[in-house]
Amino acid sequence: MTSLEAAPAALARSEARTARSERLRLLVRSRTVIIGLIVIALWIFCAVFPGLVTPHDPVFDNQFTPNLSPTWGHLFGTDTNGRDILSRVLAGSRNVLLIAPAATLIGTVLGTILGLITGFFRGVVDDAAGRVIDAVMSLPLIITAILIVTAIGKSGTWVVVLIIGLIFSPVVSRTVRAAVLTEGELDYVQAARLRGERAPYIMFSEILPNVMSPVVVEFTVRLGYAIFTVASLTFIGFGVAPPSPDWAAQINQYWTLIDPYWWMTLFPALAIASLVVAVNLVADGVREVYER
Amino acid sequence: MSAEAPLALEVSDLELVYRVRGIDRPVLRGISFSIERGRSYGLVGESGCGKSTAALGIVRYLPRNGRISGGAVSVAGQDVLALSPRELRGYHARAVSMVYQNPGSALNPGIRVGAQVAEAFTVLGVSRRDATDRAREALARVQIADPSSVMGRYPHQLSGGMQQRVVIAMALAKDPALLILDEPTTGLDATVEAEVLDLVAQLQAELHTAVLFISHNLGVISKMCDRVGVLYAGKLVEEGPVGVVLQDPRHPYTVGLLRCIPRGGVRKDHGRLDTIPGFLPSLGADIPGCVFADRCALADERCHAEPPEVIEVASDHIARCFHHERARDLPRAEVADIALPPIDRVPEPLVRFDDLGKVFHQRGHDVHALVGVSAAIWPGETLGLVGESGSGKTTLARAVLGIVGPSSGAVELEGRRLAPVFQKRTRVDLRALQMVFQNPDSALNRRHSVRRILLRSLHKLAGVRGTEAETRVVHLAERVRLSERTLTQKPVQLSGGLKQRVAIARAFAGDPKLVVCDEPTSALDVSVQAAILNLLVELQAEQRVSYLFISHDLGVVRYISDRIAVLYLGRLMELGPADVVFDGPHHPYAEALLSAVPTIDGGGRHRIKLEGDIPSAAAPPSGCVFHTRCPRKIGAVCEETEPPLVAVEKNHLMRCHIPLEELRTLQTAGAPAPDTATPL
Repeated sequence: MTSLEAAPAALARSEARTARSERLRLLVRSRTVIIGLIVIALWIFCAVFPGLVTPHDPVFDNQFTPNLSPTWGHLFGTDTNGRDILSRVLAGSRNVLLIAPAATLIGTVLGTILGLITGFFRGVVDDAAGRVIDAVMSLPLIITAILIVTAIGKSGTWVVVLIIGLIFSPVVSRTVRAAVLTEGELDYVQAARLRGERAPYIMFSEILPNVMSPVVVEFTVRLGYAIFTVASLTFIGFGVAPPSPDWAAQINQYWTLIDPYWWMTLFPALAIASLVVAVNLVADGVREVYER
Repeated sequence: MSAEAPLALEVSDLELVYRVRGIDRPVLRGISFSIERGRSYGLVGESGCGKSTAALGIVRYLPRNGRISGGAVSVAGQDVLALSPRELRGYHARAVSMVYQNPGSALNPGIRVGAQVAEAFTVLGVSRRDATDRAREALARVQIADPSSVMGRYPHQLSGGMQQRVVIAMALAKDPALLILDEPTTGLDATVEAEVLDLVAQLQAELHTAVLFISHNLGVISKMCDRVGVLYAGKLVEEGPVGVVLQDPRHPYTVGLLRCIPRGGVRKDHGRLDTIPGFLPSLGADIPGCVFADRCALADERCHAEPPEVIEVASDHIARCFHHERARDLPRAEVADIALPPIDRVPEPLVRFDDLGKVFHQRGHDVHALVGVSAAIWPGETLGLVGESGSGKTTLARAVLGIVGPSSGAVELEGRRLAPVFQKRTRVDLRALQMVFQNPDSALNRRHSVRRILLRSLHKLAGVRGTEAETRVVHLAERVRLSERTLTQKPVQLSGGLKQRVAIARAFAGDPKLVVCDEPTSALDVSVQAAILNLLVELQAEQRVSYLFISHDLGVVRYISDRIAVLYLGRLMELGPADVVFDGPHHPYAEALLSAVPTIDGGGRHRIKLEGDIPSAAAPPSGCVFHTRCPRKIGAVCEETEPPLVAVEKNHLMRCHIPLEELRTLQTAGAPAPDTATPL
């Protein structure tokens, strides 16, 4: 009975092989995704090799006349400490590019686990977790962050990572839970139960691979929020402190001087905006391709 | 054709392509047929042959990548392909109607039925006030008993049969020249299907509408249509009057299709079902010769080289086959018959359920899904479960597997009482009771390879792993006739039939003693269904496995079952050997179920109408639960006393007040006249 498999197998194999590359192809074909990826790549390059891109030292004080408005010599002007703002902006991506993805990763992993557990067990577990999640989500993000920092009693890069991760996990868990509820209705889950599988195996080996699409989408969308949140927390004083050239730290330092020294705030702010927009462009593309 | 009476539908040489990855792939390869006013035309074929695409082409409602690349379509004399977008809207609004398979998704869940039906009239320019009255009339016309109350309800509050009536009422609002029904009864119970089909036939006669009926079910086509066209790979391979084509098929594909279907009382011990080997050509394949040549046992060089022209094999009956004279002698694909040892019912049964009951608590109501069901299954035996949806078939199967814990009674395996829920059962018990699901897409994890799926089952059910498991996987695949190459593939890469084989292999990984089969072939085409049924029978012959087999297809149940249990409202109404239950005398409910099935041969049984839907299990009728719908009700005793389940003859249990001999006389006399059903 070899003829049984012959025809569709060959056909279907080529179709399945293309499924993944088809997604990539669709992603790369989108112009907005490409623009977003280029911007992100440039900022990553700056973060990894600041020495190659900055025309001047970004940290050392009193290199130039302070408070110069943008000129050909200093395209973004200089700050009150006599440093080249262009150099500081180019060197300032490191902090946010480290914290935001790490925080998003923690949030996505925690949220996925939480979503799998609540969606799989439902009932009392789901109800209890649901109320806690409601409570966390009802508080404004910054308030929660301040509460956690006060409770821990110290601040710093890794505290910020942990805080954002914790705050994001309930949001991610909601999305994952919805997907798990749908998957749980399918017969393969029932079949796994009927052969005596334990809950962790069913959750992580059977269901998880099938809910990866929403997880990936959620990760990219959360990343945009994370960058914004890192900037916000740094702005109000958590995380890094001067003289670090971090964008939000620069804004924190100079925003009171915005009149007349607007350039000291504007260029770091534009840098943050460019990164957030770029990440969201990619996130939109990813969502479109994965949620078709 | 004279100008004053244009054909309701004329399709000539219609060619249609789908553009996939930049290449135009032909889906319809030049089909021609026509329907006269007031006539009905059936289009049959397996999934993927282009039936629905043909319908979408006729209404010009193709997906974005679909394009009509040649030919002509005219409806009531109007050239459909020449219509401007604006004219097309008018054509959709007034000339054609379409009814799809799933009425639940054809109705807007958020709008009351009355408003939706009225909307069908307002688009025709009827005023809002009149539209409501017209909607009420339309619902009355489709035999909805209380139109005013139905109009106030939302679609989800109606049963599937009622929903389909509402959709039909809307489709007929404009008095269309052409009504297209695309598998309109596929998701419905046989009894409801029969009612909807009767309704369509009656309305068609009244309104003189032309009907294009698309179905994979030859019985339905035989009952509903004047003419039939058999579609294969985008070509009409045979066409003619329905009786002629189905009784004297002249194309090997039609012959093959008819042979795949278990009918005419054929049973597994009579022999294996014939199948159609091979697969439908892939979408848009370049086929120089006959489209069916690759799967045809009669094909010769000429068939592969040049396409056969339309041959008029008799007046008004055409076939595209060089060998149409020999078509009926098509060699059988499955030759080797297997010996099924007779079932020995002397020792202990394999599985026994005693007084099994299940009560669900829903919104303060007690729903009795299962009431005192007792039966037994012996090794190597198949017990078929039949009944309408809501009769408790699935609950019984789930209680046996321990997916739901019974409220009363227990399941015994080889004399041992099993734990009520599977979580508490031992591994030995779990491996003894396995399940094959209805939908293989849902039953297989789409992210796992076939090898991984089977290895895991071998590990959990047979307790083997490592290199031994690797060899066992290959052996397991062989047993369900899967090639080793399939193992590396994922379910998406497999056809429906192959997926179901994987699901069967998984259930058989631990050498089960009883496999629950819940509609295992209803998602498959008939030729694939035949192959799967053959496989199940082979496995039974090899391993003496028992099946608890659920299906709404009575031909399938009869083929595979040794004994049949008929359930109604969670109660066992009849239990006996398959032939006895099917041939009668049988319980009035079984009689009605059987008479509802449209047969290919036509005629035969007289239809017995069952009034209304199955009653709610939360408030079952007094006395005999079937008395509210029973066409053979004898009087007050039926309403007051529930008849016991007694052995009316050897091995044949029945729950009815009418003595067996009287049933025999009544049932040989034919269907009861409607007035005999009124209480005395």
